Amino acid sequence: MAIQGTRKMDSGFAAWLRRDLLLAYRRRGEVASPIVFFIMVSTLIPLGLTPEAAQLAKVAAGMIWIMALLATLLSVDGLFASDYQDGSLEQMLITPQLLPLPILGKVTAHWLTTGLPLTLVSPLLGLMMSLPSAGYLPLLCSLALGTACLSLVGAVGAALTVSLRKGGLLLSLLVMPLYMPVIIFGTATVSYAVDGVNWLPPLAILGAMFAASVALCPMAAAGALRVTASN
Amino acid sequence: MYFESIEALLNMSGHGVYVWSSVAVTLAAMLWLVSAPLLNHRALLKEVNRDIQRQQDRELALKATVPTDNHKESH
Amino acid sequence: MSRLSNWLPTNWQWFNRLGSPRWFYHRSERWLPWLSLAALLVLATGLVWGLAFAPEDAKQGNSFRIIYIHVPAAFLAQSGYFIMAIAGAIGLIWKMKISYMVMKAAAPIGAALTFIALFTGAVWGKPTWGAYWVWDARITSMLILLFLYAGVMALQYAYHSVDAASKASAILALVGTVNIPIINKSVDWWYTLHQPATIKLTSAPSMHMDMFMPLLVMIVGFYLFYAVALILHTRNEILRRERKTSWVRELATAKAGG
Repeated sequence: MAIQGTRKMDSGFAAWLRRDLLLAYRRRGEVASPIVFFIMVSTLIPLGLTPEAAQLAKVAAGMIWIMALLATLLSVDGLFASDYQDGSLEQMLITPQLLPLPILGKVTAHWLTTGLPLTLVSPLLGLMMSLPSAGYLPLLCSLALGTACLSLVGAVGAALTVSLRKGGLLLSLLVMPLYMPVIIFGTATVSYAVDGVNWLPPLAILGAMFAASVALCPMAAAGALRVTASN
Repeated sequence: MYFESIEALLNMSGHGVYVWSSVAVTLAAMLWLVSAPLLNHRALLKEVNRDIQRQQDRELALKATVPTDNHKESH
Repeated sequence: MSRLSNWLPTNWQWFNRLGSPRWFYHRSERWLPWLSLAALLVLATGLVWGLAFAPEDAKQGNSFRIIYIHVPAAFLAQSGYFIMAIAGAIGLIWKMKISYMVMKAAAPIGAALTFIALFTGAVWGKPTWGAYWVWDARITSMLILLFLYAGVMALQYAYHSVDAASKASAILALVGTVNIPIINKSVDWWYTLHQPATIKLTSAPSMHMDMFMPLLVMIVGFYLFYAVALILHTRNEILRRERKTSWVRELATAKAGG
């Protein structure tokens, strides 16, 4: 019984992860848009600020982080929206599995299709904004962990606004203040490395935030979905 | 009193503008926090009364129309 | 969750009665005059004491007197968020109607107090740092708190269904509560990273007793004021949500007649 129970729980996670990845693969163009946004906005920065390498290097880490945050915010809106419209969200809510696990599966799929590509593209942007070479590895590590936090927290906001018509704008209002600790420690990781200080402590704090978000956010999102999806 | 005169209290050795403007804005905001619900409370009760009145009017009108309809039919 | 209330012992009746909006409405009418009087007296005492009698700060001079409104407002703005979240949690767990009303009433009050803290902080910054806006740790945390309040209020108004609005914003308030300590610690850490603190507003431990006592009085006064404002706003919310019930109708006709 116990084994069957765990397998059931596991299948809730894996099944939704697989399903969402498959859906994302079918809608490649749509899924790619946050990454395109990420790259396009980065060309605005030299145009708006200055093309001077020395000045760009100073703001590079912060700007890349802000753009990654905005790109995640753009995409997290759709996390539950299509499921809500086609009724599969209702189906998820009535399954006997623990609700947080399917949600965790969906969030993992979201991170694999937005957070991870953003992370992988970031060295290119670092190059374009003349980020000092010591900053690349910390940028990759902090973005990998940080975008996962952003996806998890964003899921709570998406769950709270899923049934609203103009949910997207409200979602960013709800979630943005919760994102601030992530961006503080994300940029600090990079700037520590650029200054030649040990950059593992801020990264460790990001890791702690990630652990806390994995534990709490799916539960909060599950509670929110039970309230909002029926309205 | 810490200050020697009322003028000194108002002036606060040059910092009076900052202190007294903060106090004024704070008191105004606090007053608003208390007065707005009080005014609103009266409006809400009036609204409930209007609802009751409207409902009574509708019931009266309904009662009044029923006999006239009968009257018309009898003609 | 709803089953919980079924096996609660019967001596929890007071708890249910407290949860009755009607009972709260009538009982709070008796509390209000005393609470308001106490709030007025304590606030007046604290304000006169702080502004006119407390000694001035050695470093900041008289501008430091803004502390007597800035700190209590900031304090209550933070506590107000927790009060709001606790009310929301009580609503989610025990399905108590009144606690959702308290939660909704707490949001604009908390936001107004946050605004007071921000405004006084900015004005205080002018004589201290020479600029109205400095990205000081406390002021930045306050700004984020204002955003958090704005989120709860926006969500509250976004739903047409009262039930969904209450539950959704209760969940958001709880999520925010978990985040507030993290946000505050992060912002503190970020501040020391970028600006090695020159003059910190409100260095409480080193404060002299003559300066600290009026501050304590003001904090108590702000708590009393908060209670008065919360009760007033909650009473309105009760009327708004129970307007179709017979007791509100009787109350309204009695008020109109008298």
